[in-house]
Amino acid sequence: MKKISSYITKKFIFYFIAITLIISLFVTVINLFETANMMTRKGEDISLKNVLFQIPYYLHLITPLITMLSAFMTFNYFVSTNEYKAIYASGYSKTVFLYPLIALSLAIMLFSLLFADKFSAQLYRKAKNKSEKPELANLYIKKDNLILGAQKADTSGILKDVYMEDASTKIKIKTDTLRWDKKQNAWKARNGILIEESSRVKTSSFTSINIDFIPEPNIIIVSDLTDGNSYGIFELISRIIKLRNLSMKTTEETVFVYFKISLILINFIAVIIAFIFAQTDIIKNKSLSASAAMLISFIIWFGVIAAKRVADIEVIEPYMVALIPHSIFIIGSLYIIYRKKLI
Amino acid sequence: MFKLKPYKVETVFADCFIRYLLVSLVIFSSIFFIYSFIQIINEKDIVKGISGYYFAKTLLYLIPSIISTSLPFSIIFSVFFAVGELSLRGELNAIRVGGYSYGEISRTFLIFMIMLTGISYFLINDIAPKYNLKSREYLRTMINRVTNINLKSGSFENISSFTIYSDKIYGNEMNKVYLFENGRTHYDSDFFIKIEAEKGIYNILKEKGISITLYDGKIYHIDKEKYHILNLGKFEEYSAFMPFEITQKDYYTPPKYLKTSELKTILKNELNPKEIYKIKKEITQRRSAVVSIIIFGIISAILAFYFERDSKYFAFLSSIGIILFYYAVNIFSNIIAEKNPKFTEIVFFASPFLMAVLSSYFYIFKLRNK
Repeated sequence: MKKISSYITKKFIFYFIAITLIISLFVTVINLFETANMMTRKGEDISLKNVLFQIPYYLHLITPLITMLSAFMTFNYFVSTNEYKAIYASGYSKTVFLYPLIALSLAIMLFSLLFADKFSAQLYRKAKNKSEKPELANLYIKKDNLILGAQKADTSGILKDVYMEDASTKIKIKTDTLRWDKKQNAWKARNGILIEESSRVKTSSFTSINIDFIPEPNIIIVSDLTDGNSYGIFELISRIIKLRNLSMKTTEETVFVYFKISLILINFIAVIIAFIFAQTDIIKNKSLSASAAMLISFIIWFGVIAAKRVADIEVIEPYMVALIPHSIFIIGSLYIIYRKKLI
Repeated sequence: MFKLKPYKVETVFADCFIRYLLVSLVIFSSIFFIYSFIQIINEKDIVKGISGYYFAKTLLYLIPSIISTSLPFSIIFSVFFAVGELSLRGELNAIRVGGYSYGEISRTFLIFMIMLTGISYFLINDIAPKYNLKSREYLRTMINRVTNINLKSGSFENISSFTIYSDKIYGNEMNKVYLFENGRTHYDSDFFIKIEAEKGIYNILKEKGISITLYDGKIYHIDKEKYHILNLGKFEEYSAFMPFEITQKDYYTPPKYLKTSELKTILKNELNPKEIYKIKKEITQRRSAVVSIIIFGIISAILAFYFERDSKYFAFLSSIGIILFYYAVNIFSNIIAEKNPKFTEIVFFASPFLMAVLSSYFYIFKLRNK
């Protein structure tokens, strides 16, 4: 690495750490106030553990803002100290600042994707302690030859008001209760009707029978997604695969995956935008730079959230949550860079 | 002697303050508006019943509440920035040299603050709760209905008492369709219907439901109380209508959404101690919020005049400090009130009271002698 790139990298890392610490302090205080307020309203005791466990999640959420602020502050440092003039005088072009920052943003993205996302989601889940509902309504699945529908299903393996059919044997069963017997490793149905359709239709009612064409509960029962924030990207992907195998809807999970990816991608956009602003007079003033960084982060964040909600109501495909806002940001940034001849 | 028409120097501060107040009110209201937008759109159950019309109304009716929330922030920032500007231009020095006291400089400002407190009284006690309730009703309507259904190939979709599945959907045509219904007859008898068809078409009737026509299939009807009977038939064409689920529920209206006059009426007949506490707390918090408006103005003005020579950063930090102090004391008051409800009617005035004490201290011992 060139000495100049290493110098810029060090400056950025310094600002990144400093801003992270300041924002962490703010987040902790605000979260503490908010939690205290909520807990007193509910008449519960304040749990400091819950407050602390939520901080990594909020920090992960605002990492793009930290990246943008750090990039703005880095540029502000070089401009306000006139060091940029010395650098340009040494024969370097404007991109000397851009490339190290792009590399750093990619490193932050990788860190967010592989570590921060999973870690923050796990702690958030512990803090909220409500990622999964034990009982779910209207469970309908189709897996290979099996179709199964239950008005109520419990993750422990109790299903109520159940319909099931096996296409290979042409057996259809409607029953009041279907229960997983752990000792016998078998499903037991109570009160219902069994329909066998071969050359002619045969029916028989029953009070109790064993069912052997249904897989174990952990294969067919997937709990409701109560809060996507409690899952990391890879956990969501494995959930999507499981749901697809059962012919269940995956819109919410897929949207969440792209939303999380979209948030991580903002880190890249952040340094590009900071680079554009570094060519204006705004960067000379520290408070103006910080305000601009916050405002732009807010606009981008707002764009991503809006795209997510439009995808939630299925007006656009889930992948567009990442594609639409980032295409707009990248095309807009490239257009400005091209028009102003910044590179 | 009290003059009805103030001297021009007495209005300089008020003019500058009002200018900043309007700008900051717009900025803070916009921030809170966007915050409310995000909060509403993040409601988990809203997506299945979302409607542009209802959504716009939900947000629109929040405006009075947003303004009343933005007002304290706007006052604090405006005072600091107005004093900062006057000080920077040397106008404050010139006025002081002319023999005017801080009290005289702020006279018009104080009259304006009293008027603003009067307006806030109606805003906080009447207008904001009334429109908050309307906003909440529209939000509830969106949450309680399922009108946004998109059928997709290879996955089940629940529509009221129906569940539908199709192997392949292209346009509004479906291949290999399964339709399930868990219903109840007029005689309170539960039934289950399963229909399988080779083909089908569907049409979404906006805000109403989905009409469906199935071709070449079989229908199974099972009475859940008579499992020994199966009704089975074949059909060439079968039509059904699946209505969207619109639940009309009666909800408890928390005191936050009722006018103060309505709360007082309820309080007269209320016997439940928990409810009495909630109502008293809400009324006291509103009164405290109204008093805080003028206190915010006074404390900000005193601190801004006292620290006028310090930088704008200091002004900004002071504003944040006052806001944090106010909310921290409020949260603390809340905790005390929850544990000792008998203090409810006093404890919520702790924030404005402490700020008033601080203002008096700064005015008597610091600013007056400056």
